[in-house]
Amino acid sequence: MSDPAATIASPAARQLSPDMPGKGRSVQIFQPRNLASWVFLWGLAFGAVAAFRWFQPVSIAVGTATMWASVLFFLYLLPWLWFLRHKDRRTPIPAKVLIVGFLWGGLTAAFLIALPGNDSLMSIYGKAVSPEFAHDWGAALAAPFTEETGKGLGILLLMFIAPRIIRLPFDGFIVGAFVGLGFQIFEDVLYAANEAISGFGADQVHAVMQTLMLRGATGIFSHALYSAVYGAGLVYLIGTAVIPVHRIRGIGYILAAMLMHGAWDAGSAIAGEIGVAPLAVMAGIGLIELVVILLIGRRVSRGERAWLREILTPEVDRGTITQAELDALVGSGRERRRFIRSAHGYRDRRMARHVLEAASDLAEALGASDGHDSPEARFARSEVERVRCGAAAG
Amino acid sequence: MGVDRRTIPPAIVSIVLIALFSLVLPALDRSIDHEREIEAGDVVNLGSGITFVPEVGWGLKDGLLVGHDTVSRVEEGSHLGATLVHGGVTFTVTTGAFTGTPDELLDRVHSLNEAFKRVDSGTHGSERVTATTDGGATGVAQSFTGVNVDGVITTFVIDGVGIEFVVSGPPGSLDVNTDAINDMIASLAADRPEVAR
Repeated sequence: MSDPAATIASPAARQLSPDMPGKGRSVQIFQPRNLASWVFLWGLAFGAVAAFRWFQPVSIAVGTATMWASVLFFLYLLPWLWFLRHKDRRTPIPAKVLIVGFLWGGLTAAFLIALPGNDSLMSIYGKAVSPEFAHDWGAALAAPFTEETGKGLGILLLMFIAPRIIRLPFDGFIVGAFVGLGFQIFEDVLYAANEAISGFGADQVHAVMQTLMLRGATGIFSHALYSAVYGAGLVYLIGTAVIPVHRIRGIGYILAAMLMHGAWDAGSAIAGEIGVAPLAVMAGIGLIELVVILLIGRRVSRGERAWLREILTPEVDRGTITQAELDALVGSGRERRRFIRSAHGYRDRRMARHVLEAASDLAEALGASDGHDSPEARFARSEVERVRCGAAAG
Repeated sequence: MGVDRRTIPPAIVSIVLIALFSLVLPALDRSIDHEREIEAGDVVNLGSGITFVPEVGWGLKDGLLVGHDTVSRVEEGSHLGATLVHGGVTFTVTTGAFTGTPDELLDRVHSLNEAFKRVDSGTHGSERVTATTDGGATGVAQSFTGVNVDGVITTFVIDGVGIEFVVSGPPGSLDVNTDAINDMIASLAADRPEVAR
């Protein structure tokens, strides 16, 4: 397979192609001429209604559990947000796109699509095959289709709502992760409430803690990362102005996401089938999935780094940043830390960190103007110089 | 000002798939009327070693039978349910972790039923009476009557597991099935002798 970075259109040294990723652009979710925008907003509204209809009686029946689950899973969400924003630190996707993606995952994918889809599909398996088959394999043969498709539709629609934002597989990866995270958090609250209901609402806090321990511990192999892989696959499958269509790779990534989801849900049944303890099987599946996700994540992030290098290379020629700063900016976290530590003294290290941040802002400003020397780009460039000079003067 | 044609295919794909999962599949599921007819010797598995004997000839709409093994083990602490139907009567069993008394469990059941509006507001409940299984476990039963429904809720607590039977049907339908309903509830048993109380 060719390197995704190599597939990016190569613009002229100074002026970027209009097809380059428009990071830093503002985006409108409602676009009257865009049918994807209408369907997205329509889906969000119906998802919100479906979620309300589910939560309204549940919050009366097991209000304590619902409240505690909401608070605790919100706290559980914070490190995930930090992790994903850190991964997307070089050229962050606008928060508006990530927030609506999160809401699509939590409201539309979970309550409008997955909840009725899973229930009916598992019931059909029970009737068509046997209740035992549905008990063993029902979740594994329902969720990868209903849940991954439900979340994937949000990513698909956002690709057509924000085509200048979601252009690289890495963008699909990050947007997918946020859609999946929304699904995961709302589903966790739903699970905690269901656990409390199944205990007749008697010991609600215990039910929430039990769910938090189980779902929190296994969350790393869950929706956020499956959808990240799915999102990268969608970008390859559909193609963008920057990435040509790679059908096989796209379908491969999407199938990998569904397969990983199915394998995780089938862990118990697989353990029974091969006569091994369920915990050992789940650990094995989790380990394999983690490796696959890390490999795919590393691969798609290379494309983003290539874009960053391309857009900032003229700034090295111009003297705004040094080659070493550019290398640190597009490098791994370890390379970035090594560059900052190589500076002498606290003040220089702080300056190095601030220059990298200012250079990242400059990349966004240039991306937003297709590489043109816009007022925003000039301001961002002056900020790089100000940070550097300010540190030198201080 | 027309629609951006490039946005039509993803919009249509999305609408079709949303409709498939949220409307078509549930409708298909409802259209498949399938029950497993109970045969002599069948025993319903409620998890945690708790079982009951269903009435021969009734239809099992939902639930697992002992002996019809699943690949994934029904765990020691798992709580399963079951639904049987016969001549307009629906017999539902729900189980879950519960450490109180059967009377307290019935209180919890009422509050959940109220929250989920499972019972019409016009439904009238009778006095609570003691229910006993063949194995000697005691629980609480309460009948209810509405304009279009007759029913009875019975609760037991066995070794930290709450068991709720809800039997309902059109007025008069329970009377002709009283023996079958009572036999099924009385057959409730735990396979660990020390926990049956």
